[in-house]
Amino acid sequence: MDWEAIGLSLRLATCSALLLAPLGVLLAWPLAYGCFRGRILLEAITSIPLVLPPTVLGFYLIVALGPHSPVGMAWESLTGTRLVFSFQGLLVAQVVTNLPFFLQPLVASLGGVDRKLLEVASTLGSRGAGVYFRVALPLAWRGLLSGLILSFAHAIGEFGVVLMVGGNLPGRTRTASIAIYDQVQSFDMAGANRTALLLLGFALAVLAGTAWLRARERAWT
Amino acid sequence: MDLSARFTRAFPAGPVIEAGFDLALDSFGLTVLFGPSGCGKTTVLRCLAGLERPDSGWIMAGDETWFHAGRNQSMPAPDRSIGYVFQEPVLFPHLRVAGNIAYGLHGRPWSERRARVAELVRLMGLDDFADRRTAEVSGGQKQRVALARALAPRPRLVLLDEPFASLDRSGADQLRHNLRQILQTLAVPAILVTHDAQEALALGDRMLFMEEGRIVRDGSPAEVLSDAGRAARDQIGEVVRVRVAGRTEGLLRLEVGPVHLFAPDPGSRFQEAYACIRGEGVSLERGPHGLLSQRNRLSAVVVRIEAQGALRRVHLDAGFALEAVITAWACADLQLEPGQQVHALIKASAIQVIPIEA
Repeated sequence: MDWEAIGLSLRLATCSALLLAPLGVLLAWPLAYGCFRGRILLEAITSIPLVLPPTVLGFYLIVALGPHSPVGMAWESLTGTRLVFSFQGLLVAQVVTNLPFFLQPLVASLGGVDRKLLEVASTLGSRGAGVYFRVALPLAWRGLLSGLILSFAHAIGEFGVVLMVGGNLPGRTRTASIAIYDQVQSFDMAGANRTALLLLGFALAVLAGTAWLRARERAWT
Repeated sequence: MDLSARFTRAFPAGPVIEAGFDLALDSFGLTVLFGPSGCGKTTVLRCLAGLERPDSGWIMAGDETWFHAGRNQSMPAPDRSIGYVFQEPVLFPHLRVAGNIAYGLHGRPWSERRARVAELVRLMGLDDFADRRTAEVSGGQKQRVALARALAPRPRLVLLDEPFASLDRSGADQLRHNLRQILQTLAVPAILVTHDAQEALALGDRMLFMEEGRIVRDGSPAEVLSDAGRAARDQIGEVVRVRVAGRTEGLLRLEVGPVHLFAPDPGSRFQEAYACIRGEGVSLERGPHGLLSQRNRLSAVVVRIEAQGALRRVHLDAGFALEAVITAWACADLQLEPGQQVHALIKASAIQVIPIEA
């Protein structure tokens, strides 16, 4: 078992979930309740990673984060390191790739909050942000938790984008799913089997957990 | 300071809602917005609260513009300082009872919040429930919490959208009984939406009567109902303001000028009430009479007779306006015509007494 790769996967998924949470919470607000022209466009953009082939997404991320891009150059001048083929670059890629997995359950939960509760909050003096953070978000906590679990789990298993942006550097960018690929390439089927089983068990636990949360949410509302 | 509203709101299916009225905001007064279901009462309330935007017109509170279509101005709901209570109790399920009541006090000093919540908990009779989850209290208590929450930030006006409609009878009766007193204690003016004429009579100082989207009458509840259309009158019959002259064996002796009526005593201590007499509960008699089971036998003069299919609605003057609904056959037998002297017989149990809440 490649514990180093598994550790890196866990670290990457945890950091990406920690970054995704505030970003997703802010983006979910206009997506759930916004009445503006660009809402559909925003929805489409944030959902793109769901349908785009990982290689295409990975390619654009390399272009956007590469040493000749504005982002890559700014990063290099600040830290003296490159974003691509680094843990930080992988982290940015994971946040972008997993954004829809965080947003979709949260936006669905927010949409299920009784409108009258939001209206009452506004008659009691709460403005948009107050209504969102004091009423809507606490009531959509199961969606928030589902989003966190799903995006974390997806980050653990992500392969294509990670390989494109991070390559396969042991200890730095070689995650569990890339380790399985390597093990199969080198005919280490037993090793691949152990890592794959671990990820399978993890995926099952995550899906059962989110299904339970959804069932509880229906019972609550 | 007066609230002055003149606005319209149209929906693709349904009548155009037109509201036009003035309301004093600096003293207690309970205005009933009365009318059949679907006539636009809730829309008027939502426009006042800023939850819906009218299509034209204006809403002013003193010098403050809440809405002005011409100037494309609309004050957001949080700035209007209005309390709103929905038909069904809408409580924040993630907060406890006290947390719900304190919601609108956000940003005020902690000691002030605590004192205000304690005051409202006491006023609403919620002392034993303040720490409970909202799912653990009954429908009537939930609506009390919703009312307390609306009143906590000291709103300038409270809008009550049929607050008793979703409650069971005992919950509704208890809240109805306390509502006026609570609003009066806190000196908050209120608009109560209802389609229940008895509720309107019992609680209202003033009634705005809505029909097909328009406010068609404005006055005291008894006046408006006496003058209202058939549908409203059919609900309660003729409304007469009465004074309690005595109580014996479960019956009230009521005075309407020189006339006395007997009616069942609804129980609570009150001196003034409305007696509601439906035409179906009134029979007519001419000539000498024998022994009768009816407790009320009043001399009356026939004013006019209105044909309604096989029925005749006989309008009478018995010292107050009264109606009797009898068959065309009975009308012919009695040879009734305007100006004729008759006796109106009313069973005590056919008179509904609505105490006027002090």
